[in-house]
Amino acid sequence: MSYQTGRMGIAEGIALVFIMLFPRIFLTAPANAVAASTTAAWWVVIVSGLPIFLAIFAWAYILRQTPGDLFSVSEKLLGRAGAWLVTITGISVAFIDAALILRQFAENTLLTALPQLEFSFVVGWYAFIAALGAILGLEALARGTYLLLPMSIMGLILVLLLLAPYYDIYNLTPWRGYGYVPSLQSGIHRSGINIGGLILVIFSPAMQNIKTFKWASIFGVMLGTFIKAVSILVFIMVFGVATASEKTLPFFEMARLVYINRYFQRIEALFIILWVIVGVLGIALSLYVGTYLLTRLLKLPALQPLIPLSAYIVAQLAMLPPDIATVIRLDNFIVSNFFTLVLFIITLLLLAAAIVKAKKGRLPHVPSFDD
Amino acid sequence: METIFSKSFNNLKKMLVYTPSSTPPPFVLDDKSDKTHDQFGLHSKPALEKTSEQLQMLLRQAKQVKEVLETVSMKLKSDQVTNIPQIKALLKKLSESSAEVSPVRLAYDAASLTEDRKVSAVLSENFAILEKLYKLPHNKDIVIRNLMLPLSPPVKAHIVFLDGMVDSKILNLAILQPLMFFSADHMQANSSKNNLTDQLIEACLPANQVNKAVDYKSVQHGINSGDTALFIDGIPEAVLINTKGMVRRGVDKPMTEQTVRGSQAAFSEGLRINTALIRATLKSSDLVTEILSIGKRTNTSCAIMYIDSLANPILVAEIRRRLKGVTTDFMGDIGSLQQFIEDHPGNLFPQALSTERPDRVCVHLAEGRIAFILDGIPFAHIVPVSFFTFFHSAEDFSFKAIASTGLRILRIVAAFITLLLPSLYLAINYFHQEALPTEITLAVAGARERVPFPAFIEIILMEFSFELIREGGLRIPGILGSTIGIVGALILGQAAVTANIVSPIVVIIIALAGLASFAIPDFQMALAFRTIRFLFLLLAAGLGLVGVAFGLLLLVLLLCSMKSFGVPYMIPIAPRVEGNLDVVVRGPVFHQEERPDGLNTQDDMRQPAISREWKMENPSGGSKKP
Repeated sequence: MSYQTGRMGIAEGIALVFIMLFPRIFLTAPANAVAASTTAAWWVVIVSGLPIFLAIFAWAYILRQTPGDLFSVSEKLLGRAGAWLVTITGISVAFIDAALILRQFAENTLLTALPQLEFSFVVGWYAFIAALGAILGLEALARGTYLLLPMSIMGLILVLLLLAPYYDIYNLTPWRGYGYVPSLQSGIHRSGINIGGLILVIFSPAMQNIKTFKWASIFGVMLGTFIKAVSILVFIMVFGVATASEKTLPFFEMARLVYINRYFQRIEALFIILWVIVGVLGIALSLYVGTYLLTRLLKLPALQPLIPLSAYIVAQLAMLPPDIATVIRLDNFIVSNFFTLVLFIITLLLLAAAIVKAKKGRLPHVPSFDD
Repeated sequence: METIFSKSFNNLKKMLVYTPSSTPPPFVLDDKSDKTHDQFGLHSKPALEKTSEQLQMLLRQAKQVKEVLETVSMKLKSDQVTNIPQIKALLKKLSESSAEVSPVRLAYDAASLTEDRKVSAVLSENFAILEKLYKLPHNKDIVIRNLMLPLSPPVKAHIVFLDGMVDSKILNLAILQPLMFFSADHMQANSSKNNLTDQLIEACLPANQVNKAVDYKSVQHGINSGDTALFIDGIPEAVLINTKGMVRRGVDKPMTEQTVRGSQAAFSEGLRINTALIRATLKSSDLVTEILSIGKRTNTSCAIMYIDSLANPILVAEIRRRLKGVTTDFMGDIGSLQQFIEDHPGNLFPQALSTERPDRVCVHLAEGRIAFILDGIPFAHIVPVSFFTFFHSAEDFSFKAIASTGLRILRIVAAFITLLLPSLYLAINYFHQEALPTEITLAVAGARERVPFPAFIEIILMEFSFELIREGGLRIPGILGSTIGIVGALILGQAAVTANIVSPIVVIIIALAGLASFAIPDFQMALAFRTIRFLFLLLAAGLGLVGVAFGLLLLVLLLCSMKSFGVPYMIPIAPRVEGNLDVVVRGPVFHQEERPDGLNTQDDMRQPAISREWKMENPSGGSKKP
């Protein structure tokens, strides 16, 4: 069957999880986080990551009881109608995520690199390249991400380090932001931003075993959360809360600020390569996830022929909002509400079903590789 | 009497009035649309041809019967008792050949293709088949030599060989002399005709390889490979004697993989010479050489070599399956064969390492890889390989680890320069001028001030000129090629700058990118990078650094999706497996304990963790320090 994904190890798993969480660092998300939690934004990001760890453990339990991918697990635990509901939700999350990232990266490109280009042309190009990437398959996406991952992280850390002369530690005070409770609430509310940390649930049969799934997901989320926290920390230290919360493109602004000497300045243009690659990988992966779930839902024999069509739909979806301000608002709203709800409800629903069915003994314990 | 008026009139008439040409019409090769497509032997003879063939066979049989009967009658008339065994032998021969005239056999032989026929016991029949196969008498390099074996009774025989493909000395001394002068002495008196060939092979033919063949496919393959075929009257089989002696280029120095250190031997055109060169370096009885035949018309021999106790048997079986599964009529080059069997023939990146060095093949065989060599081609292909293998050179292990690691990094940087430098220049020039320091921006702008073309045209012009010089330099023979290349590049570059067609910075960029492409050790890999950079140029011209990023991403994903004979192309980095300190960074030779993980060899360990056992021993001389 051509929708099969191949085998993946822990390195590929980490790469997949990380690339689902990483792209928003280059978008307005850090500024939104600062606006929501002020000086506490950097540790609120870690709080946002905590529910996903619990979700990963819950999913590890579910998958140990009921091996399979998202569709087959839901089918076994919730029945056909439940599986349809869960899978359609998954497809919606993937396509909406792809469309939101696509639109924001296209707008970024227009703002920073190619101001003369036509908006729909840039959106089309992003969708086209993402579709080509998705056509090459999950294995290629995972391995390509793993290969580019160190360069992306090193590039980001380099910019953060080069900003050292601008660090003002007092910008981080008061470190509790609006206070513990509001900050914690904000963190939990925005935990949907990390829903990509559950990507391996969708492809769990491709992972070597449950242990690989669990640790790849945990390491991926840890790495992603850590990088996000450090980026926001530096962002606040450099700009201060008031300025930082107004920035549309935090990373670009940070790179723009780098000045070592007159031969090493204005390096933001060179970092375009970095964020474009990360952005396209994120879009391609979301596109692949959505199409994969669609293929499983409709029990289609092949995935590749659907990808151009999915890419077209995602591009059209991305072009619906009238302006970038609406897109940012929409992104914030969807991540904080829809994605968070999906994360909690689907995980809890399937966990409950798995526990109930295991207790009733209707599902015999299936030995996994790590038992 | 011609006057000036009549002459003028005639000339004018010649000019104005059309007269058809007296020369015959020029040759035009007609496109026969009604030609039936005879593909790979799916051809049947017309009924009339079959009948005629059957009649001809019968006629040849009848002639032989007549001949035998005449001889027998002559011998009976002479009334000598000694003639009786000879008469017996003649009659036996006759009875044997009579089996071929059964109606079923005749019909089968007449219907089948000539090369599918069996060797006949009738010598004249064999002669007729050979005439047909080798298009005699038009074909002048096939020689059919008649001879008489001095047995009792004397037996007619033919030897058949291709002139120029055999060694005349071997032919004369190891075939003709023993057969014509000494065969009678070695034949046992009570020998029957059935084992005549066996007796000849055992006692009369002092050649190193002698085989029997019963069908014309084998006979043809032998003759075409330089063997001599011996046909004996009354024996329904041919004897193929190894007389290969075509002129071959000897073992020479490598032309494309020259090294400062290491072996200086390169492959030649002879398949057996090449396999022997590998065997001479890798003296192991575990080294297996399988020979397959490829090409319906050419029957080109292809050798698969591997170390039996190391190579993954599934991989060996897969390569054998792919090679056996190639159906084509002509296989003239190993590059073509590679395209027939590789995983991604449409992809520019090479999926097998092509080398002309036996020592390099041995290194890879010892790692558990598989090599295949095609007869007539002085290159071996090694599979499976990873992307990083193409950045290794033959002498990497001759140098110290740090030096060769440095060289490998340099080669990878060179590949990136080849791929990205022109497109980065273009992207920055068009879209991201702010990325350059002000002084450099002003210098570039100053240099470009008098150039009338956009930067894209400048780059394309120079790239095209550089490729022309490179291709021209390659095609011009000998030292003249490189001289013309250097002179051409210097003159063209200087002239283009002086004429304000291109700016000096573009000349520098293209020269640097061109030079860097030569640092990539593998020609096919360098070609892939050179070709892809044009795509990057287009992306950079259209979308600036965003386009370059798109290109880079797609390139990485493409490489990650590829496989070389089932092994991921970007192994051991993506997927991550043990690289044995021999990917980009090369560890010391005594730390190369394991074979490449991705190959799943039968024996993972190459050497123990402590390979320098002498380090653990006390030296026999010198003083012990407290």
